[in-house]
Formats: sequence, C-alpha cells, structure tokens
Amino acid sequence: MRGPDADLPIAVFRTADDQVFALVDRCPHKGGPLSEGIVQGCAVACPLHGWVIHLDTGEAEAPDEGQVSIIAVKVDEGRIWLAAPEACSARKPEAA
Amino acid sequence: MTPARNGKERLVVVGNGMAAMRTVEELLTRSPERYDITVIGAEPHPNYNRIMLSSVLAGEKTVDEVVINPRGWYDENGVTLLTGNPVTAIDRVARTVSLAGVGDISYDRLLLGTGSKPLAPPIPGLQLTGVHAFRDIADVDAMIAASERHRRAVVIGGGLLGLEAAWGLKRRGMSVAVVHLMSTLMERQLDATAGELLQRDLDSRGIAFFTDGQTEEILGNDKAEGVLLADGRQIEADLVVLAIGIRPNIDLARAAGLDVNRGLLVGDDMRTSDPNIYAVGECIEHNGQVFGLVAPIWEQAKVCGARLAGNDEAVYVPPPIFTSLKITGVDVFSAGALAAADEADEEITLHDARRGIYKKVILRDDRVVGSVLYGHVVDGPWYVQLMREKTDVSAFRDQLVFGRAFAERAGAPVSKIDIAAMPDAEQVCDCNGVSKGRICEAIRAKGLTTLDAVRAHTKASASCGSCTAKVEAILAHLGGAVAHRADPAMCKCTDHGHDAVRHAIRERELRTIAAVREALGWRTPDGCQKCRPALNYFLLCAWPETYRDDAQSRFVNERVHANIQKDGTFSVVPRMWGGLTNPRELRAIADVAEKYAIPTVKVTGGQRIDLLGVKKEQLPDVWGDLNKAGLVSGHAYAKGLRTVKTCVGSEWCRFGTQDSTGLGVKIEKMCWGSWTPHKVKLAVSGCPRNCAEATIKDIGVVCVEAGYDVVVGGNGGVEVRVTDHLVRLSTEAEVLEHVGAFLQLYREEARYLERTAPWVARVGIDYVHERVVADADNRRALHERFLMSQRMVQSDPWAERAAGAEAHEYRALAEVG
Repeated sequence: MRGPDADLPIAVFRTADDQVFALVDRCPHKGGPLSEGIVQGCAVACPLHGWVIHLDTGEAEAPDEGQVSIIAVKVDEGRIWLAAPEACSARKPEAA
Repeated sequence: MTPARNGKERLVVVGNGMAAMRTVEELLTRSPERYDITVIGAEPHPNYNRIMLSSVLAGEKTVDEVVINPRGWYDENGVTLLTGNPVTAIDRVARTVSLAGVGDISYDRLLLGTGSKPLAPPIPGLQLTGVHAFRDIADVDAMIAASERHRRAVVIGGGLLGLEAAWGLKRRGMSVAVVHLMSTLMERQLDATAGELLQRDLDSRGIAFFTDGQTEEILGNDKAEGVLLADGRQIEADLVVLAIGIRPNIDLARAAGLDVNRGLLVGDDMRTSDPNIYAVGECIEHNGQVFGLVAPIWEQAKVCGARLAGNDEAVYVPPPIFTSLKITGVDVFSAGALAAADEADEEITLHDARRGIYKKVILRDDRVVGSVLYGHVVDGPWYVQLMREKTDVSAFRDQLVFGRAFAERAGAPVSKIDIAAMPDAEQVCDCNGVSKGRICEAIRAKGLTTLDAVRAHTKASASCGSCTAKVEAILAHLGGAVAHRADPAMCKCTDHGHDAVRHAIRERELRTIAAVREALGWRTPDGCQKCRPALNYFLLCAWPETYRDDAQSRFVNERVHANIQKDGTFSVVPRMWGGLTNPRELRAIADVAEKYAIPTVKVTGGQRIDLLGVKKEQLPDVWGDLNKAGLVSGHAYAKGLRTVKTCVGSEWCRFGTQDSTGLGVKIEKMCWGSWTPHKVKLAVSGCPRNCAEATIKDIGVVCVEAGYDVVVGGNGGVEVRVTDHLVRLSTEAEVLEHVGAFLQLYREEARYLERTAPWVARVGIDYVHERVVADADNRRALHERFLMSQRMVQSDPWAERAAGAEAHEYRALAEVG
C-alpha cells in the first residue's frame, strides 16, 4: 500500500487470528520493508536484519530499540479503513 | 589464639586459585558445617579459571566468563574471602597467619594453595617495560593493552602456554615470533612428528618460529626493543612474553620451616610435614613430581577435601594426565607416554601428511600406555579411558589407531558411560571443575534439556569439550527422551532441536507445519521467523510429492524469487549453466538492463551476471523478457543449489585432463531447483591446478588423468574450510551419482541453515564416506530419492510468475491519496 506521500509506503498486516494492523513500511533499524517480513503472532520480523517489530505498538522487541509509526485501522464490512496521515502517530489504534 | 565462632574449627586457606578452591568445594559437598572457612587471595579477583586465560587473550572469552565462583558464591557458602592482601608469614606454634595490613588470623587447619611462579631465564633485560609473564589476569590485561599499541611480539617458550600466548597475540593483530630452546614444539607433550605438524600449521597461520633458539638477552634501554639469541639471530619486538615454564611458589612454606624440595612436600594424604597444614596444586611436590596440568590437581583437591572432611582413607593416586591445546582450529591431544620406552613397548602409527593427520598409540603388554594425536583428536578421551581401565586391546589392536567407532565394530568392548554408577562428587568437566552432582542439580533445578543450556548454566563441556559425551549422557540419563545429542533448540518457540524435529516428522508422519507444532508442543501459536522456514524445508524434504510449500513461511527472497537489497529493491541473476553463455543471452540481458533502467550490472563470483536495483513490481516483466531468450532463474536467492563454477577444461586448456565444463553443466542440470538446508555451491576443475576453486566449495570435482576426485564440505566464507576428500571415481556417471547422493544425505540430515562445511565437520567425513561411498546400496537409494524430489521442483519459477502466478506478491494493495 502506498500512502499519499510516495516516500512513506504503508504496510498492512493480517495476523493468523485475523487482526489487521498498519505501519509505516520502514524498519526503524535500517529502513527495511516490513511488508516483506515473516509475521509471527502479533509481530513481524524485518527481512533485512531480523529485527522483530510489534504490530500493535510499532516498537522493536528487546534488546533492539526503536519504534515505527503506526496507523489507526478500522475494518468495516470487509473494507479496511486507514486513518488520514495527520492522524497518524505512534499510539495504539482505536479498536477495530 | 581466639576461640572459633560457633564452636566450629577454623580452616584458613592461603590461595584463591583453582586447586585451593576446588578443595574447599570438595570439602563443602562432604561436610558443609564442619569449618569456619576464610580464604585469602593475593589477586584482587574472585576465583577464576587460569587455564582459560589464553581464550581471554585470544578474545574468545571475557574475564567474567572464566570466573568459576563469583563473590556471591562465597557469601552463599558462608566463606569469608579476603583479596588483595598477601600472607606474609605463618606461625606454626601460635597457629596464625599474618596478613599484610590486616593482622593475624588463627587457624586450626591450614590449607596452602600458593600455586606457582613463572620461570624467568637468567638473562639481562627482564626489567624492561614491555616484558611480561603469562600467568594471571594482570598479565593478560597488560598483553592486550600492548597489542593495541604495538605491532611486534616475541614469545619465549614454545610449550603449551607459549603457543597459546602466541596465538592470542596473533589473533589480536600482532606479528608474532616464538623462540623455543628445543628443536620441536611442545616436546614435553608431543613427539617430534606431531611437533613438526603443529609448527607447520602455526607457521601457515603466520607465526614465525625460531627453534633451537637460546635467548641471550632482551634488548632495549627502558623498554623492550628486541630479543638476541645465542647464535646471533636478532628479532625486533615491542612486547616480550616469557612462557618457559613455572616453578612451585614455596617461599611462605619454606620460611615457615615446612619440608620442601622443588615443591612443598606432601604425602598421599595431601598433608605437609606439619599435620595441621595441607597443600594442593602447583605448589606441591608428591613422590618427586610437581604439577602444572589440571587433571592431577583435581584429584588432589578431591583427596584433600575428603581428608579435611574427616575421611582418613582418601589417598592420592596420580591419574593419567592428558593435554590439549586451545588454539582454534588446531587439534592436538596427548596422554601418557609419548614413545615406546624400550623394546617391550610397541607403537602403532597412522600418518596422513596431506590431510595433516597423525595418530600414535603406545602399547605395553597389550594395554594402551600413551597416545599422541594431531589433526583428528576425537578419540583422545577414549584412549585415556582405555589407559585408565587398563583394557586388554589385543582383540581389536588392528583397528585401534582408527579410533573408537572402527574398533568397537571390530570387537572392542562398547564402553557405555554408566551414569547411574557415577558418584555425584565425580569430576565430569576437568577444565571448569564441574562435578556430576552440580550438573544434575542444574538440570533438575532449571529444567535444562540441551547441551548448550547445560554449558551456559554450569560451564561443563564449555571449554575443551572433551567431556561432552559424559555431559550428554547425564542429560539423557535425567531427561530421558527429552534430551538429545548436542542438538540445540531450534528457536525460542521450542526446546526441540533440528535433529529431533526431523526425526519426529518422519517417524510420526507429521505432514504440515501446524501438525509439527501441535505434536511437539510449540510454545507459540504460529512459530517465528527462525522455525517457520526450517519446518517448511523439513517437510518439503520429507514429503516431496505431497507437501504444499507455505509461502508465508518463506523468507522474502525465496517467496518472491529474487534477492532483496538494502534499499528494498531486488537483484535478478539468470542461470548460466556451468558459467557458459552466448551472444543471444548477453543481448537479452543488455536489452533488459536498458529497457528497465537497471542501475547496476555486475559479474558475480559464481560466473553469472547480476542485475541490481530492480523494483519489485518490475520483476515479472524482467523475467518474461529474459525467459524469451532462454534464460531461467539462477536461484541466487535460494537456500538451494546456486552455481556450478567450472574452468574451460580439456576442450580448450592445454593442462585440462577432462571436460570440466561439460561435466559442470551436467551436474547443474541434475541439481538445479533443489531446496537444501542452506545454499549450496559447486565447482568442477579440469586439473589439479584447480582454477574453479573446487576445494572451497560445498561439493567440488577435481579432474585428474585417472578420473575425478570428489571433495566435499568446503567453504570460502567467514570461516574458510578446505574440503575433505570423499572419493576418486573414473566416470562421469559415477560422479553424478555420488554428487546426487551426497546432496540428498545433506538435505535429509543437516540442520536448517547449516552449510555443508560445519555439517561435515560435525558428523565427520568418515560417516559421510560410509553412507555415500562404502555403502553402494545406500548411495543408489539416496540418489534415487534426490532425482525423485527433483522431478517435483524442476520448473522455472520465473516463467510461472511472468505468466501471472502469485501476482499479488508483486503489486501494492492499493495506491491512495
């Protein structure tokens, strides 16, 4: 998924238990595309160097430190709604 | 004399080293309440493992990692530790020791473990800055500091300690020379042949040797500038390390009037000439012998601890001593006699100069009395066991020198380690002084199930590794089926190792990732980035005809069939069979590079062409265009067959003995598309000049006049490993069958992400030889299974995707805004 700003692609994830999350598609470590990573539980492993990023908070799993912006998501009758860019911040999204 | 607290007897221990503290531990396990214990150490550190200082110097361990008992241990065991204040005198009449700056401390029993001092040669220049012994943490700190400021080091002494010092300094980037008085290295532990092999190996690692070298003087005004030898040779140096030996430190004992000779004299009961004073370790002399190696010292600690605990029967009998050298990648072992002492003794030797392997076993009256091993040392502990148990070896002496596996097949008693019968106090790990009891306690208390976990918690088997089999047997004994042989847990989702999981998949016919997780009790619902690709591969390998590949368990490169780069773009490498190409292919590559504005075109190390910087959404179109010229995926992104590198061979080269290019193409046609535990690179060289570098590949073929040498398990990566020779063959068909069989054995038995080099090193080339070469039926079966699974995978993934398969992988969900 590509956002309004072409430099800021957005990755949308669906986990095994059907939760949907959206994050800026840039690992806080070296900018790797999280959308290409392997999803495990409620986290994704970046394909470049294996950092594990939590999908609900955007935070890297210890011992790594860093955070990526998360985007509020709502699923409504099969459609995925993402919050507009100005509403994006590193906070937990409203319940879908 | 002040009265003891709590009415306990007072034990004062002078020395906080390995021998004294081991004795205290032995005492505490037998009689924890008997004494009020005070330990006095001259060094400002808790008790650490002096043997491992070479690993600290080499940068392989930290000081913390070699501490045996941290300060907390002393508190927990009610032992008072006083460090940094040396004992200045013993008053045997008043039963006190005087401590600099503290005063007198009373004892009922005194234990001396004052260790040894480094020997210094009687030469000028010892006082210069930059001259160090190699004895304690302070020495190691000084050597490490010197290696950061200076470039040139000379080590005086080519024994065990000197060579470990030289290697450590080399690892720290210094240029190192070793001066040794004798003509061969480690002459106390090795015979001349093994000493020469060792020198050759270390020489090739860049250490210079000056044997038959007597040091005359250390040159310099204030600081060391070089070393002058008696024969006039001169070596420049900023750091000079003295490692010519040790002598017992008996100053205190002598001043106290105890009987001394070379060392402090003790009897079989570890008591000195004063019945209230005991002594252990490098400071003592027993039956004319002094000590520097750890095994006899542990035995002394055991006897002394028992005596202090009130056991009047314990008697010291020197055990067989053995030596191994802690230089990464150099395997040396020796025990007992180095050579036949007289005509009644016999020597059996095996010497393979090319592979750098030398084995010698010395027999007396059909019993092993000594052994020297170089290059292949796994059987060292077995020979020690035969020595200790005085086993009659006449029934299997033909096989003796080939090692335990061969000898046991030829009728040697199969020695099982009897864990149930082993007393808790028995020392299992000699390097770190860990008893069976301590290992059992850690396994039970912490629920350990793997060798690595036991190593982490107890340090047993974490140093030289010669006790690994015993530690594993203890694990198996306590953990039953949970424990498995040196098979580390796959990831944090499970305690099962790769081998155990592969075994369960076959035996219990588990056919999906979910079924494996369910059956083996995974802790996470859907695994992690480590176990998912591994399980996907294991299942694919076990059930090639029915397993459905799980794209979500593939690393991105294998999922999209291209290599992700640091900026998120991809690289595209078409296959060039055996490194061959033609104008049509080259034209297609040029056209594609221009049409899609691909920024970088590079020739790879595997004789192909890499197109770098392709955007993901362009991939299917790029592949479509390449397909039209006959180019297919090179699988440069896969844990699978990468390349078969070749030289031009007999078709063009004046030295070529066989058609190496043609054979390379045939091998590549057989193997392409296969999934393997890790990437696999092959090469075929047309003559022993080996221009295709076949001897650092996973599988190499080196053509010779008489046929083909197949070599395996090489690697040119982080840790360079030269291949082991597998077999010489006379036809191409035989080569194809052996290559296919070897690959299949690797596919079926290696751990995921284990290259062939560590795999072959782990299982041993003898094992591979047995399965692939010696057992022809097994080879054919392996080869057939390989070809069968190849039939399932040999279709070009690029063509499928250029035609529209998996299209969702290559486009964004949506463009918004």
